[in-house]
Parts: sequence; C-alpha cells; structure tokens
Amino acid sequence: MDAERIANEMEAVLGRENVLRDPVSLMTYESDGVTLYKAMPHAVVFPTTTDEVAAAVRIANSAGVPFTARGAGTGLSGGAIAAEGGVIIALNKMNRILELDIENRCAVVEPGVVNLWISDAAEPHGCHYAPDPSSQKACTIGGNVAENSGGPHTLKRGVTTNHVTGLEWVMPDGEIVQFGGKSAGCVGYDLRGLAIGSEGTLGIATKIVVKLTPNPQTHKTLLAVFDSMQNASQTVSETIASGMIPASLEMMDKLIIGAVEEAFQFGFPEDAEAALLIELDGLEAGIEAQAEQIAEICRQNKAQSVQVARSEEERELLWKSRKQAFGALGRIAKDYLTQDGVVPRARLPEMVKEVYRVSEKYGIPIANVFHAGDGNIHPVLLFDQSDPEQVKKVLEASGEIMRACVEAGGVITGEHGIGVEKIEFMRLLFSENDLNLMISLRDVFNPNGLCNPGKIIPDDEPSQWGMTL
Amino acid sequence: MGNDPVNESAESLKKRFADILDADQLETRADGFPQLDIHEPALVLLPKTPEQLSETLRCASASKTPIIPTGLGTALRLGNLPTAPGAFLSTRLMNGIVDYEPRDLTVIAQAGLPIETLQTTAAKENQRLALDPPNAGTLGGLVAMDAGGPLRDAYGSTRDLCLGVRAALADGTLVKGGGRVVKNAAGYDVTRLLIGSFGTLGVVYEAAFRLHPLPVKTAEVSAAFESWSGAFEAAANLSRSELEPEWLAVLRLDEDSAPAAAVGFGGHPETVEYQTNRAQEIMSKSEPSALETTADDEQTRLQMRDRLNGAMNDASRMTCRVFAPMSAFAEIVQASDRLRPSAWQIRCLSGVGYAVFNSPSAEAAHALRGEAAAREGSVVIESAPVETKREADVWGPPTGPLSVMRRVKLKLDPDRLLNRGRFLKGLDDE
Repeated sequence: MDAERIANEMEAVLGRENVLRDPVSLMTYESDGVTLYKAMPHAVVFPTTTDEVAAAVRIANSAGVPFTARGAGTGLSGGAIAAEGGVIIALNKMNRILELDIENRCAVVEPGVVNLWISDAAEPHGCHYAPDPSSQKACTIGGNVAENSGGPHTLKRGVTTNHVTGLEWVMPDGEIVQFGGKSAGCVGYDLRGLAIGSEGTLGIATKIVVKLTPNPQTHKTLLAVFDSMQNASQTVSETIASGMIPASLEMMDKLIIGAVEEAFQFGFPEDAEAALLIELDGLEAGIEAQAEQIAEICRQNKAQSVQVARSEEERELLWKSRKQAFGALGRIAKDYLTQDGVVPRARLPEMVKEVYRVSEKYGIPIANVFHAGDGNIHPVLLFDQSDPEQVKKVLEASGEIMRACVEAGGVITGEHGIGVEKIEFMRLLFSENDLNLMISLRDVFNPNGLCNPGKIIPDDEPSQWGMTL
Repeated sequence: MGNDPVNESAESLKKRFADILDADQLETRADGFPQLDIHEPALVLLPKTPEQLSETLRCASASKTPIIPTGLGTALRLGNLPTAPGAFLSTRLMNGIVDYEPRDLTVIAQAGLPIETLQTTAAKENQRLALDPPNAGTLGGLVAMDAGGPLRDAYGSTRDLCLGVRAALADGTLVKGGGRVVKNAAGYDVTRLLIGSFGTLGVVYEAAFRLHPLPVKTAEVSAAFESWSGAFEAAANLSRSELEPEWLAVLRLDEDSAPAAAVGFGGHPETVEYQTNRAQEIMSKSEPSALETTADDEQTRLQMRDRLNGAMNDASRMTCRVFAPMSAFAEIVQASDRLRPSAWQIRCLSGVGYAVFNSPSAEAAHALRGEAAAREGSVVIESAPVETKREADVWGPPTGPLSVMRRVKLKLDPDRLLNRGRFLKGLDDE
C-alpha cells in the first residue's frame, strides 16, 4: 500500500483535521530532543480516543507500515522519531485529566497530559505527581511512561515505574488491554512494569493511572560551594551515610558554575570547582536540625560557602542556578548534547575525572551537572553541530563515557532511554542472552516488528527502517 | 501427566542429576518441608553455583522434568496445587553476599541468602532492607512473590527496592535484568517482569537491592476501638494529616481483639516525637477505648508479622491477601463480616490487606474475592488447606490480559516445566 493510500485511510477514520501530510508540517516531527537524529515520517496522525489509536495501529498493520507513538517530542535519545517512511501517532490531542481520586491518592490521565499539569491540578488538594523530569513543563505522561522518566527528586521518591499503577494499552496489533489499575497490587505477571520504559516498542499507553504524593509540609534547601570535586563528592557520601535521605542532591561542576555565573551573577567564587544543591523535605519538626547537620558535613569537607534558604524566595533563587544551567550553557556553545549515565554513588569522583579526561582527549568542552544522590551523571558536551568533525568527536567521546560508566558497575542511561542514540551501546551492558530475552519479549508483544522499530535492541540484522544521522 | 500425576522416585531423579550435582546436593525431601499436596516431589536439587544451576535446568529441560523452585521452603504453601511433581530446586546453597557497598546503600546477594542474615549484616552499617514480609525466607523468595510487609506503606514492595536480577531461564540460559544502580533506563525492565512471577519464568539466583538507613529512632501509636468504623476513621485522619508514617495499619489481631489502628514512625528524634504526639491527638478524636504509645519498640509491627506468619504456616487456616484501592477497605471488611474472618491486617497507605480464616472454605475465599472485585480489588489465597485449594482458584483473575501472560510463559518456558499448575489458572494450559 502506498503512503498516499494510508494517509487517505487515516483521514477517513480520524478526520482530515487529525492527519498531517504536507512535507512542511511534517518537518517538525523529523527529530525529537536530540536533533542529531532525523527521519521524515510519511504522515502524523492525532487520534482523540483510545479506539482511534487502535484504529490507526490497525491501518498501519494492514499496510505493513511502521508506526511510532509520540508525545511532546522532548525525548533525549531519539525514541520518538519515525522509522523512515513510517507514521507518527501523536497523542497530543488526548490530553485530559480524566479523574482526580484524592481519597485514593491517584489520578487517571490521558497520555498527552503534560507532566506538570497533574501537579497543578492536584495542588489544591495538597498533592503532586512526584517524578519531575527537567522538561516537566512540556513533556507528556505518555512519554514519561515510555522512557521511565526520572528527575531531581527521584532520590527520595523513585521514578515513573514507582508512580504508575495502571495502564490502558493498545497492543501493537491494535488490541486494547489493561495492565493493573488503581490498586498497586499485581496478580500475574507485571506487564505494567514491563511496558513502562519499553520506549514505545511494546505498544501505546492510552490511559495512565498515576499515584499522587502528599506535598511535604516544608522544604529546606542548601547550596554549598567547594574548591574541589573530591570534597563535594565526599559530602554527598557522608550525607547519605548519616541516615538522612534528602529529596534531592544535585551537583554542578566548574564549567556549569562559570556559565551560570556569567549569565546570572549569583556570586559564586571564581575558584569554585563544584556546587552542591541539597534539599530536604518533610515535617517542620526536626528539619532545622537536619539541615544544620548537613551544613556541618559541608563545612567539615571544607566548603567555601554554605547558604541555607530562609524563605521560599531564597529557595527558588538557589534552585535557579541549577534549573538555568542549560540555558546558561546555550550562551557559551552553539549546540550541546546532554549525556546520561549512572554509576554507583561511591564511584562518582573517579567518574567525573574520567569525563574530564575524555573532554581533554577529544578537545570537546564537557560541563557536568548531575543527580549526585542517584549516581546519575549528565555530562553536557558542547560543540557546533554544523561541523561534521566535531559531531564525530562528540559521538566518540560519548561512547567513551558510556564505556567508563559500565566499567564502573553502572549503566548507560538513568532516565533518557536507549532510543536510537545508544542502541549500539546496549552490547556493552547486556550479553547476547540478555538481548535475546528482550527480543523474545518484544516478539510476544510486537511480532510484526512494526511498533517503533529500530529502537532499544540492537538486532543482528540492521533495521530495514534506517534512520539517518 | 494429567490431573493425577505420579510421583517419580527420589532414586530415579537422583540418577538423572548425578553428573551435575554431588550426592550432598541431592537431598531427599526433608520432613520439615510444609505439605504442598499428596503429589509432591521426593527430591530437592541444590546447585551451588550459577553454572550448576544452569546445567541442572538444562538437564531438567532435556528430560522434561518439572521443577518447583524454592529457597528455604517457607512459602511453599502459596500457589495452586502442582499438576506435575518432578523435583524441588532450592537456591539454599547459593547464599553469599556478592557485593555490599554501604556508601552506595546497595547490596548484591545470592537468592538463597536468608533475609535475616542480610538484615544482620546491613544493621552493622546502620542500614536495612526495608522489606518486612511475614513469610519469605530468602531474597529469592522476596523476588518470586514481590513480598512486602507493613513497611511497604513508606518504602514499597520488592518491586520498588530490587534493582536488578540474574536468573536462569527454564532451558538453563543465564540472563540478567537491571543492574546495581538505583536509576536505570537501559533496555526492557526484565527485573520487574521476573519480580512476582512466582518462579514460573526462570529461577532468580542473584539480586541487587536498594537499602535504607535504619531509623535513628522509632515509635508507634496504637488505639483500640469498639467498631471498625472508629479504626478506619482514625486511619483516614492520619492518612490525610501532614504526618509521614513508615506504616499505618487497621487491624484485628484475632477473634478476641478489638479493631485497632496503629501507626509507626521512624527517623530524626525530633520528627518522631512530634509525629507521635500528633498521632495521639488525631486518634483521640475517634474516641478509642484504649490508646498506647510505644517508643523504640515496634511492638505492633512485629506482632502483625509474627501473627501472619503463624497463620500462613498453620495447615488448618486460610490466609487471603486483598489488593484494593485504599478507600475500599472499610467497605470490604464490613461486607465480609458474614464470612467470619478471625483476623484482619490492612496496610492503609499501600492498599493491601490480609484476612485470616480459622474455618477455611473455598466459598469464603470466593465471596471475599467478589467483595473486592466489586471495588476494583483482587484476592489471592496465600495459604489454605489442601482440601480448600482443590476447590478454589488461589490467584483468581489476573490484573492484566491472561492471553499476553500465556504468550510470555510459552516463549520463556515452552515445556511449562517451572511450577506447572501452581500459578494462574489457564497459564499452563495446552
């Protein structure tokens, strides 16, 4: 069946207004958050109901055309780009919060709901949705489910899979099924758990039951600046060892601090090598004492300065340095690629040294901002995408960093997923047997291989749905 | 091997595995093992290494010998009656700590390690695995059952704390899922698929867990009420309050006790003290007949664990686990009063309850399941006399499509050798 006919069929079922097919409009969908990877879809369709998603999937199946679900397109591993010549099923028009069940601390939402909307809707009831990826103002819950997204607050609260109890799911053949529900209990295999993080290759979430977390009574936020990364890392270890679990523990390195300082003049010392943002949350009773305990740990580790926020305004100011870090980098580099890796927490100092070594080796500046409490690093590689030589170096440097993460006992992604970006690195982490098991599971769900092909699992045969770099 | 399987003798089984396992790794079933059924394996296979485990399963697969995976055998009373005996395969001798890095708050250990041993080791570093299930003996058991206890209110169940697993599939292939780090988005979440799969997809031999600091101070407040409604009201008020308990329960420990609500706190002394005072205040509003505060001794939490463990190991009683949205429990408990459960324990913040019946019957279990199902809940019979199990479906309807689960099972264990008949009804059908 040719592209024209598929688009016609889609229009017949979904309505003309819900099918994009002109090349100019389609260009928006050529890539996602990593613009290094591009593939032009034949059409983008916008179903408005679960039945329409299922219908679109069936049309694609009968035509033998690959299809890829997509939310806001903020993903950072190329997971939401179409296979060449495939169809994108965009869930943006399924964006209703269907139910807020405060008594049971959960909400039922459609996949196109933006992450932050849930917390906004739950705010009057004193609750929020805990996973908070940096893109939470834009990214959708459907995408969060696909990627098993995290965020700075996962240290205490966990990631998407710990906060989603039920899914309505369109299987790759168009069958509509349910995994779990409002009850966190599971009878039988945890297909919900398998579906979360499957990056759109096992089907499409059309309804999601998320847990709502009560808002903590208060926060206490500290910013400590160090003249050595080693001392900052030691502070992280000692804080954790003291028996406290901060809500977040975010680290920024010299290059980030410099960029932030240049952009916003926070007043960081010139020789600052590392800044550590620590946030405690919970009850007012005892939180001052714990904050003081952490401040003392910082001082014992030779912090140059320790600031404790005394008000919500001061808290926001301290967070601003972290939240604006990427924007600040945009001022000093034309393009940047945010890498994502995880190492056991105790290996963080040596990992940071390794990143600096790689930076020097390739002559690519790398800034580091990371979720230190989780051991989740985000080296940000600064380059110029129009220079093919630099692009090549960035990819090689990324590969070296990934290998170092695996050698340190870690993994190649903590929250961005594999997508197309890291597909070849999967072999660093998983044996042939491990990968075959994943292929077996994919075959159970997706025997025709049309559901988001070319992602996650490096198949022996190169995908026929190639992406271009 | 139909509905009335014939037990293979220990001698004949021993011969089959003698090339792989030494004589002391082929144990005739000890009398201490709980009674599963009249048709149960006569031999326990005890591999010591992943390679031996792999070889053992490869041999079982080649000879189509059904396998019942276990650890110490403490939870064997869970599950439907096996429809094929074969042999037990215990991970008991694979019981080492592989890597414990206190600074990472993570541990990797072999599946046969008793939970208590891990807790003792972790306690030396002021840490713990925040799982307190009644009846799991080993780490492998935690994984197979997705176990949890009262602490799941704050920390979740095994599914939330297990970071990765290594397992042997039915044909002996060794695989891994996840890793040792707390955040991991690489590849399919094979770990969560295996957690709670009741040993039917593979035999887990190693697992990595996230640990938590041991609380500096603990305290609990418990209150007895004349009626269930008082206990549920107190719990609901606690749940709506600013407090951050480690666990919150509504319970009746036995037929002679009054309904009660109990709540436990752990952490910084100042925080614990504040919460204890507030909990007393909140509970008092529901007019309890008795109110008690215990510091540094989690009397009720341990009592709940021990009572449930006792019930599950008592061959004459039946224990049912109820999953439901939290708000449904008050109704489920009152609606099932006519079924005369002798005890109830409800974990209020995680939506899990246990009902114990001194006079077990399949009818009572099915009626309870009906009450739960009417409120988006489900019921699993955790333990019951063999006669009750013959008439009941232990698991009831799964919380996802059985057709997909069957396809997963057939893909990973095509000969249905692992725990045949013991998991979901229909899973192992031809």
